[in-house]
Amino acid sequence: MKRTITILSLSLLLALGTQVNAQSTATIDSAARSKVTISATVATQGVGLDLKYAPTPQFAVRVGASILPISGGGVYKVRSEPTDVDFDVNFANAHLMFDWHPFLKETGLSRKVVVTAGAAYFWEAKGDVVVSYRGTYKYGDILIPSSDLGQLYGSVEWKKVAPYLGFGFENVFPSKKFNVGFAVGTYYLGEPDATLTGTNYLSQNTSNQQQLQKNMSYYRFMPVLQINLNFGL
Amino acid sequence: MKNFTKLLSLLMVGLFFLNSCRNPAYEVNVLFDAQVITYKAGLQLTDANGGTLPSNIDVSVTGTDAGSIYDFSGTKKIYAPNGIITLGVHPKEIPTASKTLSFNVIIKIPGYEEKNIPMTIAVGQFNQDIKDITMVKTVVPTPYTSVVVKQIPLNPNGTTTAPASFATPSTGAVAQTTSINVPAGTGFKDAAGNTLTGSDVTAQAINFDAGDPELVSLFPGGDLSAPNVTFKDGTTGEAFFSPAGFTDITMFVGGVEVRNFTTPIEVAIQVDPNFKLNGSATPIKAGDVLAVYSYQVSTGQFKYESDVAVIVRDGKLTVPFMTNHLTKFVVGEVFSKKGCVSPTFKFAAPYLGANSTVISIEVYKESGTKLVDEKEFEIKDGQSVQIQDLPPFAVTYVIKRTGKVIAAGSITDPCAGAIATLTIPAPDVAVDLITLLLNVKCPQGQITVPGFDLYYKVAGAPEGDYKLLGTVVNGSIKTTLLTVGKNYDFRAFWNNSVKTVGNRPISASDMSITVGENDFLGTKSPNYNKSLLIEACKGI
Repeated sequence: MKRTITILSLSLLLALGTQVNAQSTATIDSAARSKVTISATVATQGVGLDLKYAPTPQFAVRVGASILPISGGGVYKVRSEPTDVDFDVNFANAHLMFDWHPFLKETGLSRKVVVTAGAAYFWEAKGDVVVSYRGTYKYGDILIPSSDLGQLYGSVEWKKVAPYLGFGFENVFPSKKFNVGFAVGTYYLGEPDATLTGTNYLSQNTSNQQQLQKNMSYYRFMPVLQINLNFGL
Repeated sequence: MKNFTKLLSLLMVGLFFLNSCRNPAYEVNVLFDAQVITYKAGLQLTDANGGTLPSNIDVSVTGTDAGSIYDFSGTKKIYAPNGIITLGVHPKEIPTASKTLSFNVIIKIPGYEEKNIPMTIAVGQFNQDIKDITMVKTVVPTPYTSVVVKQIPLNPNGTTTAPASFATPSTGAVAQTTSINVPAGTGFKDAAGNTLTGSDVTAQAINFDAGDPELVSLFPGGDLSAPNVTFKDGTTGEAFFSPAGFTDITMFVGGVEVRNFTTPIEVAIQVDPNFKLNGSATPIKAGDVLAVYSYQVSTGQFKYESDVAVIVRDGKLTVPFMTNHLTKFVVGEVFSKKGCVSPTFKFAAPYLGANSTVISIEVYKESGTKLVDEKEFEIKDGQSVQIQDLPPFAVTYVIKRTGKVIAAGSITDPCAGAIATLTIPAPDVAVDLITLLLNVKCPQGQITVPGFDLYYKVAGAPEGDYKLLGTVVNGSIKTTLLTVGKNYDFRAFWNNSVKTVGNRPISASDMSITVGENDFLGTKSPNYNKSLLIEACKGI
């Protein structure tokens, strides 16, 4: 995840640089601009497509969808024993956004500021994790191998509908069909439902569900760092 | 507007980084189920004279499936704190429908008779009845036994110098006697067949009161039913004993136990005058024939010796027989249980809810006058238990709860494998549904408490009043045997440890408590409690 954020941050700086250069060299009048734009998005909430319609330079409406399927795993230490942790995260949404360029009369970077508000319907907003203890559990002289210990299943699921608020930088009057934009914002997903169940010798861990629920209650916002690859139609 | 842009940027970036700052695994401690052992069985040893058993009780397990048997705490070494033995089956070697586990528990306490307890655990029998085993000192009489010790002089070649006769005394508790007559010139051999020599032979005999109900727990194996019996026809199988007389004879030359004689000796066992042959309405009489069986404690095997007609000697009904070896001898009736399938009781006790109670089942023959089996179970509503060790003939039974009869009935054929539903009625006074829950915190996190048996008595009652409350599972026990507003003494047994908590008030139906090394651990023995906690925490 840290690597993803680093890459996105570098992309952001690159995008900002691109936008600044574009602004200084190319501006067309409002009558010649593209009112319909299709955008490929790469963001922390996944990859997706947006279709934007801007009836006026100041306002636009966007519809689109994005998906984020991530699977992975790692080895961690639990009670000094290696433990396999495999996770599977799935976010998929369809969204409707409204863009507002409040400072079109300004010059410089402020002119490109776009404020976005909207909402998304997440048909997938959940994460699953499977924990498998690699070590041997010792009960007196009885040794329970990891193959018999069972597994721990954690699941976190957010609400389906989430409002969004954010801002970004977009060139309203690009000189070329293709341009790059940037957005940062957050969905408010609300407090998720977390469950924790275990099998075999890990079946007592349902008592940890309350703690997991408490921990996951901090995960109400879904931050968005997004790069828009726009193509004017 | 540039300031606004900066402010908005800072706000959103700040929100981005402030979000999700809690580790999802924060204070989530992986708990392992401490209930590794699901099949358990117990034995409760008591001193026949009501005394305190010594701490050096040696318990070992032998037999076909001994390798699968552990102490309930998971150790291969079997402990017996305060005479309580709790056994468990390795979770990978539990019984199946096609394999019932069989093993023998050997109990040795210096100064007491050695015990060999045959046990079986069948599929589904997760929590067997607790076998009561009464331990008898070899040279001390008890309310159920009389004892004689005799020194018999020997020739230099190890043979008796003259005929020697000795007998157990007739006491108020045990009226019947066993007499032994050793001819002159009798030599003595050990188990390996070596001739023993010495200045004298020390002979001792314990005569048991065959008419006493306590004989059930005094009998070899702790039950009148035995799995390893060699019959008159030479075949071996399970059998039920109906003893009219029972004696244990041992001899030592120079500290070496005698097993055989060069010349047979006579043993004459006086029988219980109230003994009735099965199906007979009248007591035994001269001319009736009884079987003599010997019992070898090391193998746990009974072996047919002879059929003997009862005679009258010295005014008492007596069974005399000759033998060339020493051991325990039983005279009486023996019933083969080959092919016997024990009945199953399913308990219907809706008043218990999810809680448990403890009941005892007493099984009688002869219309409730002769106790042939006694068991104690912790039961829950809907629970089924197989009632083993019953005789192969019709019996009656009574079920008691806290000493009061709550149900009774009969079983026409205890070997037919019948399944009967027994209704356990609610007590006249509504019971409290009490939950005791113990949570334990360790430095590594919270642990689930390993299972253990918990005993209780009303606070301040005598030590002998401790009764089984039940098995604590995952730190919790739900019972109907306690009453809100009363104080109790509790005693727990785990591994080689005994923990007593005295005068604990039951102030609410939910008595949950969490303890940790740094918490309040009582006023009487906080350091001991802390050491128990630290030891328990080492295991995780």
